[in-house]
Amino acid sequence: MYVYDSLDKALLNQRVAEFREQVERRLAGDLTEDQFKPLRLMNGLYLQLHAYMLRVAIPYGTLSSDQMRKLAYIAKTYDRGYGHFTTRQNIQFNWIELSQAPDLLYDLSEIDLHAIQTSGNCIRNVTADPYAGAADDEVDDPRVWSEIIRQWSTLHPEFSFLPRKFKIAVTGSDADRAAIKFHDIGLKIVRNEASELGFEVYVGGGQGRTPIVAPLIKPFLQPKDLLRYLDAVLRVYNRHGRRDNIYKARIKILVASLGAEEFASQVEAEYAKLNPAHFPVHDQELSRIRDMFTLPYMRLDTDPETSLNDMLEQAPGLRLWSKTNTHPHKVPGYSIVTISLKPIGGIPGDATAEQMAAVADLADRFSLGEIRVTYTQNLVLPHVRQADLFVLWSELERLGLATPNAGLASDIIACPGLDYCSLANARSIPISQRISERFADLEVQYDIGPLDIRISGCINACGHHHAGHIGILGVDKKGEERYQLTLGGQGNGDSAVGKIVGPGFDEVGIVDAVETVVATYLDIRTEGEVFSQTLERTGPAPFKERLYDRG
Amino acid sequence: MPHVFSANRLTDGAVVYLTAADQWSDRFDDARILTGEADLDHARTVAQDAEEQNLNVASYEVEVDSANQLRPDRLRERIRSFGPTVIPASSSYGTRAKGDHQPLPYGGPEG
Repeated sequence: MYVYDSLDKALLNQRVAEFREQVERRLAGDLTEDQFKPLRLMNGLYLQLHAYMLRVAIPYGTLSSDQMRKLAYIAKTYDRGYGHFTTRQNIQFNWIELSQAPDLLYDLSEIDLHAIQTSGNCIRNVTADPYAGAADDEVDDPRVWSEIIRQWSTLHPEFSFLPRKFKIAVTGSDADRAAIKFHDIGLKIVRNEASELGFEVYVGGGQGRTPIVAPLIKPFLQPKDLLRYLDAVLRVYNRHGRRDNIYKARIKILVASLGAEEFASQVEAEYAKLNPAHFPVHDQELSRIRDMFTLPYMRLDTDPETSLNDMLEQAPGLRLWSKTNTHPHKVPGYSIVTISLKPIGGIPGDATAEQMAAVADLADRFSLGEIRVTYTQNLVLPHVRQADLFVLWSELERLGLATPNAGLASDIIACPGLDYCSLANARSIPISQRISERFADLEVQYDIGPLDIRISGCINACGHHHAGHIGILGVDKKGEERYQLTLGGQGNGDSAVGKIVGPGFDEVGIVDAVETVVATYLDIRTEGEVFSQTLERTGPAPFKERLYDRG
Repeated sequence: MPHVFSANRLTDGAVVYLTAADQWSDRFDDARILTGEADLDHARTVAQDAEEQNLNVASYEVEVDSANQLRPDRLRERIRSFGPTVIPASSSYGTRAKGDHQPLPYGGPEG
């Protein structure tokens, strides 16, 4: 993975020192809260319901084992012994003290971690396919390009005062495990007819108040033009994005109002004005970065398939877990392993300090010291020998991290909601817990098959409810929590926005409603149909009928 | 409806409440109940002073419900006063999440 050079380290050290001074000035009263707030936000520090919350960047969801150990240390030393992995592949700590934040950021900087640009109206953490560099279906490693974009966007002097936040996601695979079309800019690495590497560029996607699947703005962008083109997009946005209305300030509103064609045309015009020499991605630098993501020597099993089958025969639990929580690796004899942070009845995405430290050790033993964070709030060990799966699974079982539910009904995405977030209107975590418990029987979950349930506690949609096969949006109705149900969303690949089915439910009713939807699917599905296919075939009518017309 | 006055302490972000002695406590039960405009005006002045002296930030009035033991009227404020309604698995989470949240009547159609 990428290793900081002296320039990166100098930048980080300067930033840590600068923020320390800013905090000291704030505590001494030399800065007002209005003056300090934008500085605080640009360093990822929010004032939430209960305390300050710090959002630490995990660049394109990639962590070393040492970095995970440091996050465990932060959780124990500065917080209450746990952290929350987010839908942007970051981690949040909920109980931070402002007076300790400079020391915390210094501790993070020792291992090349930070909270820069995880908030504020700037370019945020670039997210990417969590299987990057390991998946057998990728055209190129999206982390290489994510790192280039990270360097370009960090402390960019022109883009530190955008109309609103800006989110970029990169995938190297058709499978799109980064939901790129729900981002301000989504990049898909492709090969053209001449087999040249390039990008499909999608601009203007997002969720929130106005969910939109991003249109394709540029069908093929050459890698050498990447930063120049991104600069052009940001310049058009910076100039024309709305600053008069926070709810209409994202680039998706600009793209929708201009139309994709006109927007693309304006970007091309801006692009033509930019001097290519100002946007160098020199071959040498590209090679340097790419080398850091190249897999090292990986010891192969002499007969991986036989070894794996032997193991699966011996341990039925392992068989179940490997069906859902492992994915083919591009190197024969290896697997990509998902560590579920969704235990039945647990808080989605939470991990204790002890679990984080243990995962770090497991990464060292089994995954070349590397860990990934998914936007679905799970962890991944990307390079696990199949011969090691049984031992790894046993260790995960001991740690409570072996729930075999990746992609199933209890693998729920939930934002922190009203339990933590000052923006929320309703709680989301208890709803996810009750739904998880309702589907606790794993045999039932396997029978249901792939099912994305996503819950947001407010219209900001941090729980990605618009993109859930079943989406739940919590609202405040005359002081009471109320939950709207949507159906038909899709995050990855063929992205789609879910549609509301009818009147909302209370906190008990919404759990029953989800169960009713699932029961309806089980009744009407044809052989081999997964939930999303049944819904596409029948439309929402049979589900609405069961939800609202009976009883 | 009566009120209490709340803020976040600058140094650590803790939720604090204005007491009868014009001090700030992180315990909701220490909050002074404010009835009437004169009470509120006084509280606003004290709160503004606290912000100007860099003790607190984001101070505001919170409605409390006379019919519910003078607890905050809105769920959001009750969560802010008494902590999240969910308990993380962390062994060092502590006992902050104490309070008067009604247990959620889950259990499915059968009760």
